Amino acid sequence: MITKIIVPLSIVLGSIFAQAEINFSYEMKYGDGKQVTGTASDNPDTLDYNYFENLLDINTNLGDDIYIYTQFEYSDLPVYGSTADGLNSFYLEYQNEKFFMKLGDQYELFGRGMSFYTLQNQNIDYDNSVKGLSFKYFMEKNIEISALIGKGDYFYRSNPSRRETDLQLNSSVLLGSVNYTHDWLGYFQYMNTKQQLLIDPALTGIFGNKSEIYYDLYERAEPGSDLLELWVAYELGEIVKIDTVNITNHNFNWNFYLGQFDIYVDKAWVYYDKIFGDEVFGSRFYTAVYTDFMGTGITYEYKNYNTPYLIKTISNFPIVYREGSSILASRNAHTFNFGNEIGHQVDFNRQLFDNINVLGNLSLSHRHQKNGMAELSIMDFLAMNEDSEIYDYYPFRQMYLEVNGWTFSERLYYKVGVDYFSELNFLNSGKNTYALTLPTHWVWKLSNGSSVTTYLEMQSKTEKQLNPPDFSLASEKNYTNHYFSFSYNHFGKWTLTGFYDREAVSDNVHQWPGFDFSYYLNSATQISLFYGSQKGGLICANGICAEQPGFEDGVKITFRSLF
Amino acid sequence: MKRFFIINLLVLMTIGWSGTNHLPNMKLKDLKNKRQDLSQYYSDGPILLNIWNLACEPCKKEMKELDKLNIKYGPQGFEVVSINIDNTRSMSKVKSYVNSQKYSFTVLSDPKAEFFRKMGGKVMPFVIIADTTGKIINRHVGYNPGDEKKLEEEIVHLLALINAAGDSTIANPVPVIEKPVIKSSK
Repeated sequence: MITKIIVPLSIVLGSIFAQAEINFSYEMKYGDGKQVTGTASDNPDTLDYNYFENLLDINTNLGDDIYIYTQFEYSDLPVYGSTADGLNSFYLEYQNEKFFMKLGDQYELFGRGMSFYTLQNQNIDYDNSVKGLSFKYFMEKNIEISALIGKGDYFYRSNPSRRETDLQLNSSVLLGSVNYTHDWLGYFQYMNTKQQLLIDPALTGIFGNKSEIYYDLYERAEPGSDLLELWVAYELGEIVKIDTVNITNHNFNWNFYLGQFDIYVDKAWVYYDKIFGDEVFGSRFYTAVYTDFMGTGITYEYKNYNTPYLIKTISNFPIVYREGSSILASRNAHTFNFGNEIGHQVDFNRQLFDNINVLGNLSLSHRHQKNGMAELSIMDFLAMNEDSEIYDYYPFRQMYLEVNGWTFSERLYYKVGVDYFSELNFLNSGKNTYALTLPTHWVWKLSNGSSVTTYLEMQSKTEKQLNPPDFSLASEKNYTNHYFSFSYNHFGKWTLTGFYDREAVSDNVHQWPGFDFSYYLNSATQISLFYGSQKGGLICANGICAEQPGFEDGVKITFRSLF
Repeated sequence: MKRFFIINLLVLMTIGWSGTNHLPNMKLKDLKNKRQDLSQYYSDGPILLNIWNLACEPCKKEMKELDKLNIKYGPQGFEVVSINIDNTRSMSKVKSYVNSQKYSFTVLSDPKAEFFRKMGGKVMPFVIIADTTGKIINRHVGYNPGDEKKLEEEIVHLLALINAAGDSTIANPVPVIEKPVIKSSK
C-alpha cells in the first residue's frame, strides 16, 4: 500500500513543480535452456533453466535539491534470485549546501565498510540495505556529521551456488559518525554503530547447516545446558525462541600522507554476542599504503579480521586479494572468511616506453592461530607446502603478472598474463586447488573503425582430496581448460561473437560453444541474441564484461536501454 | 501487481519524460580525498564523463582514447573527467593504476556508484557528454575499439555549436571545425 502511494505521489508532485527531470534505464533478460547442476565435467547433470527478468530504474530529479530513485522488477524467475513483482528499491534524497537527507533504502558506505557498507548487486542477487533514514550535516567545510537509522530483512544463501536465497534474519541499526579533514593531518573518521540481529533458528539454519557457527554451537551444547534443550526442541519441531544478537562497533579510520607515502588505516573494535551465548570481543584492522617508486606505483594492503561466529550483514570490507578480469582465472575464487582472516597483498603498476604496461600482484591469506595450531611464519604461507601443520590455517596464495600495450601504430592491442592460484582448503571445501592460467587478449583495429577482438586463455588445474587422519592423497583430478572467443565489431552497428569453452578432466570432455549477435539501436540501446552454451563466470563480449550463470543449449535475449 | 507495475510505468513515462536531463548537483572526492563539485568541470566548456572500474577491460582501452581527446580539445574548453566506481574490495589499487597511466584528465572516486545510478548506468564503460550548462547531450554504453571516432564527432559538433552560439565561456573559441581529426592508424 505504501508503494502505491509514495511512487505516484512523488511523480505527481514532480509534475506539479514542473521541474522534474526523469531518466529511465530498462534491462530485460530472457533465457530458455538448461543449467549444469554439477560443477565439473564428470558430473554433468542438467536441469531446465529458464528466466525472464525485467528491471526498470527511474531516476527523478526535482530541481537541484530532490532526487528520487525507484527500481521496479518484474521477474519470473530472474537470472539469479527469487520471483519479483513490483517495487524493488526506493529512496528519496534531499540536499542543500549544509544538509543531506535520504529516506528509504539505504545504500551507504562509511570508511572502507568495516562497520557499514550496504549495496545492491543485481548480478549476484545481493542486497544488504536497510530501510530507514540517514542524514549528513556539513558543519564547516572540513567537518561532517552523519547519522543513520534503519531496519531490514537480510536474505542470504547457505550455499552460493543456490539460485534462490534460503536463509534470512532481521537486522536493525543505529549509526553515528563524524569526520574531519585537515590539510596537513589528513582525513579522520570515527563512527559508532549499534546493531541488533534477530536470529530465528528456523530461518537461519544454525542448527542444520554444517557451518562454523554450527560447530561452535555444537561445542557449547553441553549436557544440561539451555542451548542443548533449545536444540532438542528445534529438532522435535517445537517453536524455539528467537535470539537477539547485539553488536557494538567503534570504528576509526585515518588517511594521511607521510612523505611519498599515502597511508590509510582503519580499525574496528567490535563487541558482539555469540548466537545463544555471551558477549565476546572481536576486531577488524585494515591498512593500505601507496607510493610511487621510480615510476612504479606500489600498493601494499594488510587485513586482520577477527570476529568469528558473527554473521556479516551490513558491512563489506576490503578483500585484500585480486579479483581478476580473466575468464578462466576468475573461476577460482578464494573462499574468503570475513570473520577470521589475516592477509597481505602487494600490487604494482609500471609503464615502460609509454606504451607497455606491466602489472603484478601477490596475495596471500590464512586464518588466525588458535589453540593447538602450530606457529607458522609468513614464509610458510608463501611457500604453501602441503604440510599437515598448515591445513588448519586454510591458506591461500595467488600470483599474477601481466604485460599489455598497443603496438603496430596502435592497431594491435595485446595482453598476456600468467596467474597461479593455490588454496589449501580440503578441511572446508574437501579439496586443495592449484591452477595455472595463461590469459591472453588481442584486439586488431581495422581502418574503417571496425575491430576484431579475441580472448584466448588456457588453464591447468589440479584438485586434490586428502584423507584427514594422515593427510595422504585420497584422489586427484587434473583439469585442462581452454577458452576462446572471437568478436567482429562493425563500427557502431553490430557485433558478432563466437565462444568456445572446453574443460577436460580425465577422459571426460565438456564443451560450451555459443554465438552472440548484438545490434546497437543507438549509443545507449542494445539488443543481444545468444544461442548455444556458456559456462558460468565472467564473460566479455560487445565491449562489456559481466558475470553470467552457467547455461546449456538454449537461447538468451538481452535488451538494455537508457531513455 | 502486474497492472500496478504497468500503470506506474505509463504514468511515469507520460508525465515525466521531457527528453532533457542535466548532470546532478553532486560532490565527489578526488584521489587526494578532497571533495570536488562536479559543476566546476563543465563551467568553462563541454564535458565528457566516463565511469569505470579496474575489472573493466573495455573501460581501460577507452580511457586511453579519452586521454587523447582531452589533450587535443582541452585548449578549446573541453574536459574529460573520469569517475572510478571501484568499491572497498579494490579501491586501494586505483591510485597506482591511474598514476602509472599518466592520464591528463581528472579522476574522481564514487565507491557507492551514486553518480552511475543517477545517470541510469547498468554496465560499463559508460560515457556521458554534457554541455556548459550540464545538459546531457548523449550517453554511450559499452566500448569497442573504433567507437572513439563517434565520440570525437560528437565533441567536435558540440564545440562547434557552442562557438556558433557565441559562448564566451570557452577559453579559446575554435573558428571552424569541419570534421573529426582522430586518424585511423595504417
